[in-house]
Amino acid sequence: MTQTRTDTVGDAFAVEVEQTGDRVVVKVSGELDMGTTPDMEHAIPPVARGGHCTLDMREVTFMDSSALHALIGLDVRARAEGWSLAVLHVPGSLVGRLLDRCRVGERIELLCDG
Amino acid sequence: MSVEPSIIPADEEERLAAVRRYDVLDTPPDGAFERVTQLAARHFGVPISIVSIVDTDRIWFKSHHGLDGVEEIPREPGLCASAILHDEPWVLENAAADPRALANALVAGEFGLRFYAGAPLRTHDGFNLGTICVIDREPREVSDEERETLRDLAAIVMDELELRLRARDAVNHEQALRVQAERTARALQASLLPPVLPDVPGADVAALYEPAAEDDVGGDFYDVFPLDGDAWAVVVGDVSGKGPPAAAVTALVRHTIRTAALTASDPGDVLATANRAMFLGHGAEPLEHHCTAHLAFLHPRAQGGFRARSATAGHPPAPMLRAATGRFELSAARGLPLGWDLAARYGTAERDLSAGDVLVAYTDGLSEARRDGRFLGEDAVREAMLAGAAEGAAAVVAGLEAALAGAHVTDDAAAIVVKAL
Repeated sequence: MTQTRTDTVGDAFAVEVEQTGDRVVVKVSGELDMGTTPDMEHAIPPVARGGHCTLDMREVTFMDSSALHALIGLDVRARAEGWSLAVLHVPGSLVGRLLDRCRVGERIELLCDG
Repeated sequence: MSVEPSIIPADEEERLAAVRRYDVLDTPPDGAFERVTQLAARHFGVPISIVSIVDTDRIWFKSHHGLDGVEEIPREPGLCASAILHDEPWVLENAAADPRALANALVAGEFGLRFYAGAPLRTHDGFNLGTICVIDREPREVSDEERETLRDLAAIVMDELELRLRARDAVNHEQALRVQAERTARALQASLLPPVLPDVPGADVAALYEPAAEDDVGGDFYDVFPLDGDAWAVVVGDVSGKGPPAAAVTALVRHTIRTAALTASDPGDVLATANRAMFLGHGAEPLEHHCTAHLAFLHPRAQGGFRARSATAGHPPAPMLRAATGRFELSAARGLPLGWDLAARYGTAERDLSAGDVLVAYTDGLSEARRDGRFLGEDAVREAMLAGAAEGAAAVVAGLEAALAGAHVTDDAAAIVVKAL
């Protein structure tokens, strides 16, 4: 299942979802802003209790505060529904720096490598 | 005009207050009361029936069946004025032979009134506002049953007046609530507007505030206020979401920071308090709105400049431009956005702001505006700092405004620029 959406400005935005049993991998690429963040949120399927979701953000070239708030929402949802969430990222990248400055790692498991 | 004292009820002042309360005087004719007087005239077989209200010096007719063209009469000759002195129907069966009415102009004069029966319009709290009366030019007898009917008609008139009073009170109450709500909304809006910057001794301070939408407060805020002693607090924040709920969160965070900063010695503790305040009433339940914020305490140093102690909650780092080296330094403070984790803690980072150094705290609406498809980013902030630092804080803000002017802005943008003198 792949959704692709190209912004009029900036990098092409795309979300790919792979689901195997109770494990979901959501791969996001391009820019996550007010316009594209809702697409990412809608693309994430229901995850079973005890299941796991990996959000692969290694190819996200930009994320703004709306994407940060979506990440908070995802963490809240995971805790409420009893599944685990991890975010895959590249340390030192724009996304990595934002995750770092917000101490996202205190709430969400951060992975550096696939 | 003075009124004969014998027809003034003992509780006249309170009675007139009751008349005013029902707000019926000089209101236009009204079907409900017309029907009652028609019914009364028909039932008694008399030509005239009146619903009257006794005012200070006049008797005003709310409804007058069979008495066209007369809206009111002076209180003096009014039989109704006498009728309200009694709690039971007041009756003149043959006025020409009744010593109580011989002097009355309506009886003695051309009108030739002979029969009058009036029942008081009595409020639930015991004031007689006026009467419903039936009048004839012929003498007439009144049975007990008819007196009872007159009382019932008076009760119907009173029910109608009470109903109207209650409806009006309800409307007034609702109106008052609406006025109150509008006032609150205006006050909230006013409290969210960027404050006039105070003069901070030893510093040159300027601010940028550009809401993405003119009429949609919420989003970004900044504040500069004095702490105990000679220190100052500088705060910039960004609440997620839009509209009144977000605006309420903005007000809560801003005012909690102001209040907590008066007693806490550490900006990290202030942010922790603001974070907990967001959860008040929610337990540890997740919140709809979150807030990123940067808070700095500026403590004047003996040798000039400030010791800047700052804490941040998910906010872009505040760059500092060193006058001596022309290099940038970023604050090392890090922290969760406010409203995510009830137990979140915030550290405080310290650095010196020496004479000529410039510190900029900004929201990401500034760095995330796009010019030619590219984000302004931290670079635009740094460029404005480099270009304007020598001249002053206002010049740096002008540089930021110029960068925004040529860009596509999707979110609120706010910034505070502090230059140590």
